[in-house]
Amino acid sequence: MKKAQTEMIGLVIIVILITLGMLFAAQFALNDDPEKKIFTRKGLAYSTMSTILVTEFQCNDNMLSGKELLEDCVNVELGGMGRYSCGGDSCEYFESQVSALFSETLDKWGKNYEFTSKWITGTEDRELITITPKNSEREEIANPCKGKDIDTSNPFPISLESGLIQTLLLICD
Amino acid sequence: MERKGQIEVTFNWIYIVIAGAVILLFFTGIIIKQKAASEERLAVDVVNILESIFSGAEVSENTKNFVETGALADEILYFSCQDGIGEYGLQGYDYGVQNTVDPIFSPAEIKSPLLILWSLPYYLPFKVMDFLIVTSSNTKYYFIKDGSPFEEQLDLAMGEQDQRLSINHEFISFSELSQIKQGNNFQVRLVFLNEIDIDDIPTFLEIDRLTAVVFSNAGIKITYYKRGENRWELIDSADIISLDDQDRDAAKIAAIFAENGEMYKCNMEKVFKRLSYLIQVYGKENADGVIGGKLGELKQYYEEAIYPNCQSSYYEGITVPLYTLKHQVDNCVFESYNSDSCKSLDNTAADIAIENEKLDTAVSCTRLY
Amino acid sequence: MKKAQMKMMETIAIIFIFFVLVLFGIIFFYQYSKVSINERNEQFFAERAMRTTLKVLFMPELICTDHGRIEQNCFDLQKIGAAKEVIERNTEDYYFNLFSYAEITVHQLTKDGMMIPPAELDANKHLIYSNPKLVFTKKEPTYFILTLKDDITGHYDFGYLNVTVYS
Repeated sequence: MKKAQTEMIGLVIIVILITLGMLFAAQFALNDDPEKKIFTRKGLAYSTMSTILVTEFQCNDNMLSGKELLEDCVNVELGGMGRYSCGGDSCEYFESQVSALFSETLDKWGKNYEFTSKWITGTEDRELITITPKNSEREEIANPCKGKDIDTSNPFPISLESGLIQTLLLICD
Repeated sequence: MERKGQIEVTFNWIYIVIAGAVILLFFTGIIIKQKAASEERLAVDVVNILESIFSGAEVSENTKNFVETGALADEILYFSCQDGIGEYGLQGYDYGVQNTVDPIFSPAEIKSPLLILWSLPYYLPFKVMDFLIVTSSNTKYYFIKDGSPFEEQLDLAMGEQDQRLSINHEFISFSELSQIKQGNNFQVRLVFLNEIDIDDIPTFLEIDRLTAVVFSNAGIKITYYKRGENRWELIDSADIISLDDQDRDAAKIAAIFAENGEMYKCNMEKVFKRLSYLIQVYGKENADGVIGGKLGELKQYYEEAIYPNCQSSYYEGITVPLYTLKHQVDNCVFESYNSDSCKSLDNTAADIAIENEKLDTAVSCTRLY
Repeated sequence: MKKAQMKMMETIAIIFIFFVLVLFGIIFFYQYSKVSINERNEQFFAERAMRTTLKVLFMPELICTDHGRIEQNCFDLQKIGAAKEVIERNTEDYYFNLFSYAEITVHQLTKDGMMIPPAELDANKHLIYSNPKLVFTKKEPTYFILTLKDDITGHYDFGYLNVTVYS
C-alpha cells in the first residue's frame, strides 16, 4: 500500500513539474522578431541610402549630390585631383556631412549601422568611406552589427568608366 | 456474499459509465466552444492579414501580387461597396473590414487557392490614387477581340511570361464564344470591348456564374449583364472617367473587374472624394481670392515683373481649369456619380494636363506636377 | 467494511488527482491564451503602424512627381505646406479613416544644401497630421529617411518622417 501511495505521489509531482515547465515555456516560445521590426529596418536602410545619394550638399558655389561627391572621392582616392574642395576633399566632406546627418537620425533612434562605400574594379577592391556610430569618446565603433539582426539597403552601385562604386548601409538592432 | 459481489460489480460499471459520460460531455463541450472561438479568431486573423496585404499591394503601383489562400481555398471571400463604404471579409463570419478610402474593384465573391492583386495608378490629370483590382486564379476573363488599341493595351498589361502567375484570361473571336467551357473556373466573365447587341451573345453556354460587360460610346460607358434563364439580364451601367492616351487606363481596366456598375461607381466616389482634397493641395481657392496650395507658392516665386509669361500661364492657364475641376468633382461626389459634372471631369483634367506641359516647354516655369 | 472504505478512498483520490490535472490543464491554457492574445494585439498594432507608414510614404498629397512620374522616398516641399492645411481641415471626415490615432511629422535637416543648426530644427518641422490619443496604452514611432524636394529650385534636401501611432 505504501509503495503504491509513494508511486502516486511521485506521479503527481512529475505532472505538476511538467505543467509549470510548460507554462514558462509558453511565455518565452511566443517571443519572435516581429515583422514590423524587420520591415522598418529594411525600409529605413533602403530609404536612407537612396536619400543620401540624392541629397544635395553645398560646396562653395556648387550644389553637389551625394552621388557626385562619391564619384569625385574616387578621383581623390586614386591619387588624382578632386574637382571639388569643400574645406577638405570630397571624401572627407561626404563623410563629415553624412556622419552629421546620421547623428541627428540613426544615432538618436538608437540604431546601430555600418555605411560602407567601395571602389571596385576588375583587379582591386578599395574602401573609400566607412561610417559607423561613435562611442562616448567620439571614436568610431568597429563592427557595430556583429552578432545582431541585420538588414541591408542592398548595394547601390554607381557605374563609372573604369569601375564601380558600391555603397551599402547595414542597420542592425 | 455472492449477491453483495454482484451488486458491487454492477454498481461499479454503472458508476464508470455515468462518470465517464459526464467527463466526456465536459470535454466535448469545451472542444465545441473552442472550435467556434477558433473559427471566429481565424476570420479575424484572415481579414487583418488581407488588410495588410491589400495596403502593401496598393502602394506598389503597376504591380501584380499573388497570394496563396492555403486552407482558406474553400472559403468564400466577399467584397461589396455601398454608399461609399467598401467591405470585405469571410462569408459566414461576423467580422469584416469596412473601408471608405481605398478603391477595391473585384467580383462580389471569390473562392480560390490563389488571389491576384493588381495595383494601377489613376491619373486625373495628376496621380490621384492607386486602384486595387482583386481577382483570382479561377475567375476567367474572355476578351472578345476587336483589334482596338484598348485590346492591345490590355494584352500588354495582363500578359506575363509565367502563365501560372498571370490573370486568367484569353482573347477569343466572337465565333469562338460558343466553344468556351466552365473548366475549373468558379466564375467566368465575357468582356466585349466594343458595342454589341446583347441578344447576339449565346445564352446556351453551360457555365455557372457567367457575366458579361460591354463597352460602348467609344469606351466611355460600361454595361453589366448576367446570364438569366434564357437571356441576358441587364444589371446596371456606369460612365468611365479617364484621360485618353494612357498606357494603362486604370478606370477602364477596373471597370472590367468590378462586380457591377454599383460597385464601380461606389469606389469611384471614394476616388473623387480624394481628388477633391488633392486639388486643394495643388491650388486652393481661398475666400480672399488669393490662390493657395502649391500653385500659390509657384505664383509667389515667379513674380510678374520678372516672369510675366509664367504668371499668365499659372493664372489663366492652370488656375481656372483647376478651380473648375474642383467644382465639378464636388458636384460629382455630391450627386453620387450621377451628374453631368462627372462626365466633364476628363475634359477639364485634359486642359490642365495641356497647360502643365506648356509650363515646361513653352515658358520654362516649374510644372505644377 | 474497511476494505470497501479503502477502495472508496482510493477511488476518490484518483478522481481528485484527475480533476487536479484538469485544473492544471485549464490554468495552463488560460495563461497561454492570455499571452497569445497579448501577442496578437501587439502584432495587430505593429501591422497598423506599418500600414500607416506605408500610406504616408505614398500619399499623392505629399509625394514628389517629375513629369508625372512618382519619385520614391521623396516629399515635395511646396505640397507639404498645403497638405498640412487640407489634412487638418478634413481630419474628422476623411483623414482619420486613413490614419486613425496618430501623429505624422516631417523633419527637415538640411536647407539649400546646408545643415540646419540644432536650435532651428524645431522651426523646420512640419506637423502633417495630429490626432493623438489623450489616454493611450501603447505608442509606436516609426522613422523613415527621405528627400525633401524644392520643386522650384529643383534641389533635394535631407529629412525624415516620423509616424507615431497610438493604441
